[in-house]
Amino acid sequence: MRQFVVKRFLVTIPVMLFVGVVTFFLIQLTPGDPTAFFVSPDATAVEVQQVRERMGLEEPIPVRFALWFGNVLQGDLGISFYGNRPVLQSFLRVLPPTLYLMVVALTLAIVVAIPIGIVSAIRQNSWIDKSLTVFVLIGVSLPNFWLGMLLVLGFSVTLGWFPAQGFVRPEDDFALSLRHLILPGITLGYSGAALIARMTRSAMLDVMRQDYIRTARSKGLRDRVVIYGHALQNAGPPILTVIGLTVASLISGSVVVEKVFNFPGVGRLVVDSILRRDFPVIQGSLLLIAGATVLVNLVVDLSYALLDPRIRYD
Amino acid sequence: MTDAPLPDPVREPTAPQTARLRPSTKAGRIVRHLLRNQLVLLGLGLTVFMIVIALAAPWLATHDPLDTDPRNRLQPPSAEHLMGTDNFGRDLFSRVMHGASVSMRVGFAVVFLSTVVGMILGLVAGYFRAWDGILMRFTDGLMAFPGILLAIAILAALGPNEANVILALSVSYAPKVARVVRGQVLSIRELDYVQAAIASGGSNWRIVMRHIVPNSMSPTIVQSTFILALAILAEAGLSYIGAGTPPPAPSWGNILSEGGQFMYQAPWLTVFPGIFIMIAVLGINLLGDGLRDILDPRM
Repeated sequence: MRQFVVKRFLVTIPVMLFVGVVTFFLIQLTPGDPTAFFVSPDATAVEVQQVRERMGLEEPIPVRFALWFGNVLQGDLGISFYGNRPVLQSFLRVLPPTLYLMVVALTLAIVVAIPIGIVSAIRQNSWIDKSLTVFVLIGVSLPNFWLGMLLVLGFSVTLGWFPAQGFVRPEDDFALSLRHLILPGITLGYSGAALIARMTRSAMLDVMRQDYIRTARSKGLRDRVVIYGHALQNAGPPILTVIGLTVASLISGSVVVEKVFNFPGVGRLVVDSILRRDFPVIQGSLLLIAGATVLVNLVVDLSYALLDPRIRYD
Repeated sequence: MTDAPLPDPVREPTAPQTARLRPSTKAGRIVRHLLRNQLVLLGLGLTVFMIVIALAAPWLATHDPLDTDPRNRLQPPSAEHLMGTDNFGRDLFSRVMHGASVSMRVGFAVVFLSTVVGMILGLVAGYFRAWDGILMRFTDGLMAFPGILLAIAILAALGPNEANVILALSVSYAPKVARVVRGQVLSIRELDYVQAAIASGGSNWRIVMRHIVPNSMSPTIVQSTFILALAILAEAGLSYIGAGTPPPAPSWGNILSEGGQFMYQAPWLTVFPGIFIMIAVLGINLLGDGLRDILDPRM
């Protein structure tokens, strides 16, 4: 087990390094001279040169990469073009709202999806099972931002039940905060819920035809015990994997969803930075998000191995 | 298991090797099959419908999609403006029709590019094992960026326009194609007839083109339909956040992005373009599910 954990950790190192390389070179692809964004059009050549030197643009690219990556490892992601705020600080400031949003989305997805998946599996071809098929199809076909807009149209504009946009910190007013999080949470969690429900259904179906389930049944255990005690436990690992994948997709999904609800999180930081062409912030945020995704995958793989002792890395 | 001696809430399949989503009773299987086929037909119909709209947009459109008419801003749907007008008085119906062209153009271009590049990478990685390690670490790195994030990063660097959207999405999906093709190649190259062809001195080119490519096509075809659906969704999302096709081009994402600001006065700007995205993506997904059942029953 320890060997597996160590190996799995080591595999993430080249992936993270590659993520760093990609993020760095993407920004180098930018056509034009980045200094154009910070010097006024009538700056003298000397002023431009000073800015270039301060930004390190005079160094060759491999040196710049080494410098940049060294700084990244020390937690220095550079400074925003606007307002001179360190990138890490901007990111950490908008992180909590996004984390709350992800928690709400994931909780809604799991609470809805797993029971639906179980019922569809044990009552195959019932109306619940058939509606699951439709639910899954719509889940993968509906643009999440459009779902968000429809929810705003229905529940905010027409019914007035929930606020249409913004965020309130739960420390300040928990009930109001939750009301702000419900619609974006549904929007963000919907497609994940569809995937989790489908995986729960097929994992349960797989387990239900194993011999030990038949044994459990034939020795007279009640259905409830068989389903929740024996079957669900063994259907766990694949469901867990899909939940992990959902977490990763929530991170990128929030970029688009936050715009719908004018939600002050990581997604809006990324979108605003793209519109302002604030490259240090784009670069730093992407690096942190990709890093978080790699970590989520690591955690999923490790817990998978913990839950299912048959799984070993080789 | 309707004839089971005891009431059994869990319908066990009659044979353990029955595929997992198949129902147990014969009648159920037939009903399900018909239902499936009908859904495939529906998917095919919706996909063709969208392609026709995309191709015929210039003739279907009743107005120029870019023509502004400030006196007729935010008009509700009427005989003159079938879906109403936007905040510049542009005809929404014409913009939605032309939006289909943008989506389909981007979608098919992404499918073509990502499939060609992905197949080459996958074939090389699977057949010439020396390249496998480096190519697969490369795809791992690209796939570490979740969802449309890699595309966002590329567009942030290159600037938002339609060609860059195609490029960015192709780079995002090519690694997924490469993974699937590689897996296929790895299993096919071990088959006896391929080993026989290698042993009898067939050239690499001939073996890859004659034996490996044709036999690894099915999953790639299925995957490319899903990439088409994903690319259409992604294009809409990218345009919506301002990283995709730039305004005033009538892409569905743009229309929604601009229309969302007038949700109170003009909800039609939010409703109609979204319905078209959903029809297009739903149709293609249904078609993809059907193709998967037909071409690749193991998946």
